[in-house]
Amino acid sequence: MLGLPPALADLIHQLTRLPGIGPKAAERLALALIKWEPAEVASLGQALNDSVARVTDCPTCGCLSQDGELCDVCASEGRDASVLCVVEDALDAVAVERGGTYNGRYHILGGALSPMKGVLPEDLRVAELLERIQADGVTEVIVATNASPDGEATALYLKQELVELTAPGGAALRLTRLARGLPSGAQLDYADPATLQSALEHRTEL
Amino acid sequence: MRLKRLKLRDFRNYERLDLEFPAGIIVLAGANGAGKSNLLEAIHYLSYLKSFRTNRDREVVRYSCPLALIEARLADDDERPFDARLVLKSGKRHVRLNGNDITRFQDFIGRLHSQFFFPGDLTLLTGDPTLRREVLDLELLRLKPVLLPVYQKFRNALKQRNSVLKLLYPQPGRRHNRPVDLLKALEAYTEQLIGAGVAIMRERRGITKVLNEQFVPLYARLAPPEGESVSLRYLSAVPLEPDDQLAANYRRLLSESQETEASLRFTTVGPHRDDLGFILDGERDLKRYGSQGQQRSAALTFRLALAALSRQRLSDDPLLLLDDALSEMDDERKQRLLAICRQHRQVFITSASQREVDLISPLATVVYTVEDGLLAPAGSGQ
Repeated sequence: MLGLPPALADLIHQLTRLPGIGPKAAERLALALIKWEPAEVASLGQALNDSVARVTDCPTCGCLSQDGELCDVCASEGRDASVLCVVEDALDAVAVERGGTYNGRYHILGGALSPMKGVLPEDLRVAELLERIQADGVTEVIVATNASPDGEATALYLKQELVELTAPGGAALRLTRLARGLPSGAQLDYADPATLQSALEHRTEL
Repeated sequence: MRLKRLKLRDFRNYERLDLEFPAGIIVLAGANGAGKSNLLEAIHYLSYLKSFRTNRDREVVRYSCPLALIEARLADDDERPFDARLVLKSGKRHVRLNGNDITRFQDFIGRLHSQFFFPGDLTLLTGDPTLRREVLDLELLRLKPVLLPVYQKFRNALKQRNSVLKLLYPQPGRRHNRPVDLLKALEAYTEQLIGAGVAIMRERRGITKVLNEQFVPLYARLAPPEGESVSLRYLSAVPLEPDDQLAANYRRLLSESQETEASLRFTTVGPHRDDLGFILDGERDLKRYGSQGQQRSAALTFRLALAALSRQRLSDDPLLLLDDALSEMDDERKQRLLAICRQHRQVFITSASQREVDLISPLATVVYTVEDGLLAPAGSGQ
């Protein structure tokens, strides 16, 4: 029986370790890659090496950054340091940023609470969050964890941690949670009951 | 809901059965062991994907046969037909609905809505509270499918909270480690538990109330003439009244049970520990103080109350499967039960007594004599 050359088999095996890539997809990717020009392959390898060597977490917020420097948001003078948007992962911050209307800063927790799966409070970047709130004179924390059970529990846990903190000047720190409701462009009759229920609860004045 | 056509292959003692069933009361008469209950068991399988007698599919496959087949043409209350097909092998099931393979069994269970009574159904009353909570929740979700996420939320919060308790209170002998942030996480899950738990307790209390309205008069008509009344009550460690204090009461009980939680390391108060009570004369537990006759009547009445509620609230009249339900009743109560059955679209009644069959026959659409896995029409009453 004709087997695959060992070098190719090794490449396929390496690719299957990536998330979302099964054996079939890995085969297709590997076969495409070996047809690339050597220069293209070298530049892919370079990009890979660079990313691994240079991409770091922003020392302040935990967003994706480069060479240990502050991320663009933290480095920017124009961002409002008194508002913090707390998200589970760096990609969530990227998603909020794509929305284009948020002008505050971010804080990445690095996951969501789930004692069942072994994720405990100590595994989240909560101490850093508390420190930042005091140091930066934060007046509002927007909790933008996922609308999943774990995300909700994380929000409730953060509430426990933050509820007694005060903003500069002694006023209570404003704690908010992202609204839940209909996605833009959605048709009402296609919405699931839980979404509709939540949209009704969080309805706004016209 | 009704069963129009049934096909069995190698199911229990039915090698081959192909029959059409009319609406109304269908009597299955025959000696013990003839296969009357087996037929009801097949219909029960189509409804709940399980037997009421065994947990092992292998047992229902006819001796030395590779597989059993149950196939049915059903019709809902608007006479819309649908087909259900079930193949049972040892350790394997193959389920089809309208010709489509079903991989998620929950998409199949309950499509054929039925309520059943069989002599062993007494365990519903005398057995573990889990059984009663399951029945109550199943009916609640049928009436209000939007509650499913609430149940999922509760189960998740409960599991997570229990995980935190296990971390907070390690086994004796191990070092106690009680960081402040774990206590705060516990508090977060307590909030989630209360939010979903209160909703579940409210809904269960509500459905118990409307079920009770069906149950009490039915029980009075069907129970042994001893004069006692039986009612349904939702039993919770959490005081359910006044309603606006429910969340506060649950929170108080959870905080009072801290010591118990520390030693048992799981959540000991909430809807997951509640029960549906069958209460004799407004005070005593039927499970403990009722006679077997009373318990039997209560179990039967409970199923009939569920059917009546479904018909009233959802205009969904479930199929009734009554296995040997009349044998311990006097003639007057038999007549009353039959009068109730006549109000339902389709009812299967088994009986091993000729006298009983003679009593039912005038009210029945058709009477079958069951013998050795064969059904023969014994004539119809009307």
